[in-house]
Amino acid sequence: MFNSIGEFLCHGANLIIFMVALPAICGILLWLFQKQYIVKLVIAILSSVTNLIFALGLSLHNEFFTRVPYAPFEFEFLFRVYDLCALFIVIAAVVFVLITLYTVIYSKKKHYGGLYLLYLYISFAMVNGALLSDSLGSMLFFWEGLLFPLFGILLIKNNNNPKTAVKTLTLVGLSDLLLMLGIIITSHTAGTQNLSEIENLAISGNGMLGFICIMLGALGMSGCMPFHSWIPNASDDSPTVFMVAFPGALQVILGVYLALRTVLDIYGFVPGSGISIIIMALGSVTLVFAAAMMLIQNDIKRLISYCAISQLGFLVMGIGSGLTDGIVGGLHSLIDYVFYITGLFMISGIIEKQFGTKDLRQLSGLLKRIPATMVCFIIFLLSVVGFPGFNGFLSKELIFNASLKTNVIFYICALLGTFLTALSFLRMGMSLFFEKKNAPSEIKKESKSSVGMLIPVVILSSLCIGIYSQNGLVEYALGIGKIAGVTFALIVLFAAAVLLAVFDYIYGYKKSGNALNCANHIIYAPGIKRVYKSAEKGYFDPYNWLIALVGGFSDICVRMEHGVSWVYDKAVPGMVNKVGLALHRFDNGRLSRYLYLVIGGLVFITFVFIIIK
Amino acid sequence: MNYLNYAGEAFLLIPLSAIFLNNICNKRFIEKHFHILTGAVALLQMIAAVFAFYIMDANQMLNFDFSVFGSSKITGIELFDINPVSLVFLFCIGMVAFVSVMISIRTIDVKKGSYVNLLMTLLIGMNGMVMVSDLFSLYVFLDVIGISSFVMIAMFRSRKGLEGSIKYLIISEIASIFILMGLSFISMKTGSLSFKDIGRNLLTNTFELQTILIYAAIILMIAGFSIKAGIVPFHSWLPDAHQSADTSISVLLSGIVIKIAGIYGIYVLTNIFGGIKAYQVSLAGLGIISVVVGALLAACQSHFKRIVAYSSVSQMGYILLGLSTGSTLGIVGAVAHVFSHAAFKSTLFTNAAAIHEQTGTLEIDEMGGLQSRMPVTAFSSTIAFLSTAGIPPFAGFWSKLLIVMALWGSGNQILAGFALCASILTSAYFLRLQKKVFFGKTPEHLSSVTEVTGSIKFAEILLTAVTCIVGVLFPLIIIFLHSRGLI
Repeated sequence: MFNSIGEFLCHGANLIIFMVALPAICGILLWLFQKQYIVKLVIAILSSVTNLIFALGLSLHNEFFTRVPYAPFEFEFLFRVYDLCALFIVIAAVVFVLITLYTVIYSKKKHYGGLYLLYLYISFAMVNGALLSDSLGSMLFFWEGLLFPLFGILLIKNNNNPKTAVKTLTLVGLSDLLLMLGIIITSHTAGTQNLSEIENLAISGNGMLGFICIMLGALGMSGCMPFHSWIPNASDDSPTVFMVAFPGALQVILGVYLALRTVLDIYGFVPGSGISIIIMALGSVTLVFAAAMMLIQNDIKRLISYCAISQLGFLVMGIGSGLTDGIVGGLHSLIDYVFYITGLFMISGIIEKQFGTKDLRQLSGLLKRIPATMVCFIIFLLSVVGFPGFNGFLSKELIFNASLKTNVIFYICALLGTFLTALSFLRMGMSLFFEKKNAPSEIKKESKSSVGMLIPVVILSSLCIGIYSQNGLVEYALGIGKIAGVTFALIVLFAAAVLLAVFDYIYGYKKSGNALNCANHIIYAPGIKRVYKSAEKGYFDPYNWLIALVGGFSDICVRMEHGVSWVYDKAVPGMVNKVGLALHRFDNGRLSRYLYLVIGGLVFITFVFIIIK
Repeated sequence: MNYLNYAGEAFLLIPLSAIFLNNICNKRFIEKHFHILTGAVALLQMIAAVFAFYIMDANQMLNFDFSVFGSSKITGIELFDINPVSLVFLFCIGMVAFVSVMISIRTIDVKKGSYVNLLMTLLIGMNGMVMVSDLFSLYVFLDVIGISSFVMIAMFRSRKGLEGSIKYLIISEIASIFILMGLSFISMKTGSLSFKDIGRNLLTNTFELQTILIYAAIILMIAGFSIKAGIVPFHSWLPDAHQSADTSISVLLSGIVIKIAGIYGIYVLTNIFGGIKAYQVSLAGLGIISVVVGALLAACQSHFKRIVAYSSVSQMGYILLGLSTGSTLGIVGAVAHVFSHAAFKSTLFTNAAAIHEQTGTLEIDEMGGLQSRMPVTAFSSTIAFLSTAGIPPFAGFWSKLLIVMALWGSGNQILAGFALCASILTSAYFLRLQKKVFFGKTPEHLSSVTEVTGSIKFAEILLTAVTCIVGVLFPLIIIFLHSRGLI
């Protein structure tokens, strides 16, 4: 039996088909058994672990291709397994095991649990398919396939008020549209759809358009600016498990994978070029803007959403630099991101579930109530900030390195982002766990056991303690040698930024006497206050611009339509009526007038004959 | 060719015999069975037209000369000529006369004998006019038409009828004078009024005064025939006359008389003078003015028959536009539109008769919601309206299409555009008519209205079927005409 399993695993093509089909089938099973908790748990664990085994099995294979025909006329899926893709598959599989476990426990008695798991599994099948695709067409198929469960999940709790779902669909759909355009242009420019046959296309003319579209599509899927604004809204309206799985892991994995492929293989991306500067600028703005927004959030999930967006900014800066340091840092950063953002969202879910609220103003002194969670939270915090010994350290330092090499402004932005992130987490952590406010009576007592939900959090936090960083896995996947360490001077500067955040926190705390208000001296500083107010009102939300633009456009259309209707309804009939009535009055029944008309007609014909002759 | 001779003679002799028969027979008997006599004449005319068309087609003939009671070779004997175009006109005359008879069964209660006499005289006039081969005979038959129409309008002695007929008489006589003057001017130059001779001798070896006279003749004759056809600005008599006459007479006037007395006259002129640029331009000018002004006037009328009468003015404009091109396609389009117009205008007048019979009024503001009470009338009226507006696949669409194509082909793209846009106006006034008469809320005094029965209903169904069938089969007709080298 083991032999036959071994043979099965040795055959890579089977594994690929299975990795796409298995999640979809298991999703249906989970939906069918949605009321049997134990059965659901067993299926979930078995399926996700099997998926992980398959992923590991694939990663052991050498590079290979496989074709799966799915329709007549030579329509087929083309898959390819190689180092980078195998790494992403494994990351996705690891995080999928934990997400599944967390989700099943979290949605134990929730009515939407079964449907959510179905959507989640279908999404995962799509992610696997997209990561393994070697043809741009197949990738687009799986990529678009993700949109349907995404929209479905967002509708689960908001059937009556699908505002967030519509916003998500609009923004993700828009980025998908750009991606589609990019794929068409790229395929046209390269003359093929097969990714393995496309290499270093020139970023000029059509190529420039194709590159920009693909990058915007890929980064837009991850939630980079200007496609980010649905994530904080989703954190308000959707179940925590959605945040854990989608903005926390799957979408970022998919988006960053394509962005990396685009920069590394598909296009001949030159570090320091204009387009590189633009992408890094996009990353820096995302980083600083989202980190600054973290300072004013009083909702844990919302705060983590902005944290996720700002960390993505780091990642984009790394990839956008095009330098080896930056790309390795970006890939490291992705792995870290998936671990700590997923972990943080999971913690927010635990807190929400246990205390019935996610409002920081109502929560305090949780240290004694959930100490294990707190330890995990601190590990994630240190990892996010990039403290030595934790995952984030290496990736952040590499990205610092790359941004300094490109332009000092980016480096300053990165430091600023670190400072703001550290300050925000200090604010949140101190307020949640250490500060003792007058605990409001409405906070529920710790009534539900959350040990099961804590397991994935603990695993994720242990993964965040920098074990893997030094093993060269990322470098191997990228096919490059081990990169040099980081500069000591940069570490000092980085440490200074973190220390500054600590000092600022202490200063703010003393000034306001409250951890939550520790950043008030920054938020209410002259000039900055107005920016924050504008941001809170959504003036910086590109979605609102888009909606305003669409609104303006539809307003113009309505006016035009009214104008046209006026012409049809009033002007033309009015004119016809007036002219008709005038003629009618002229034909008043008097014979003399009839005779004048006859003479008039005779004159007209004579006139014509005189003129024409 | 004896058969053709018989058929040709039949167009004149059958109505003449009917007049004799009408006056010889017992008055009561005739009053009781007048519709059989007149209906039979109309039917025989249609049959004779189809028969003659068949024989001519079988023998690949494009025209056939004949004379009544004698040989065509003898000088002084009136010479007649039939050709495919005149046969189409003859068929239309028979068809509209038949419809008029159908309507008259319900609408005419008195003076039935006079109606028969006048209708037959009118038929002789119209048949003669489309068969003659010289301008003077044409003028004679034209006056026969004019006088019989005038009496028919005035026959029932209503005040309005008399007023309308007097206006018609005066204006019509002015037209006759114009035409007669034109004839005499032409005769001064050519010495003959035969179509063939005029065509040969005109504008050759002329000195200036003669040229001026010939042009004056053309101008006078265009004006004269335009008056007869009701072309704007010579149209004023037409709505008054059509509105005031009995509906069975209106259908004749609007459906065929204006076409024979006016359009056929212009058709003859086109055959002779069609090559003259000024002639074409004046026809086109009159045509487009007629199309637009007729439609605009129709749009603000409140009397059913008046709307339909102004619609005739507008549609005559289309025919004139077709003739103005001088091309075969244009002439075929014009002749096709004569037929389509005869069919749909007769339908609309039949609808008017039905509505008048059932409701006692033809003021559209007093009507509403008749669609559910008079479904056959409503349906046939809708089909007629669609055909008038030129909506496919009805007969009106094809004829208008040919006219627009001819206009486009002759370089008058702007006119073609105008003609197309004017179709929207046609739709506008007919939609208004449809809405006010057949849709909306039914007024209380019309709540007990029911569908018309008998001959009018029969005529409605028959004409609607003709409009639909001819529309559907029109491509075949075009193929046939093409195979004969006509278009």
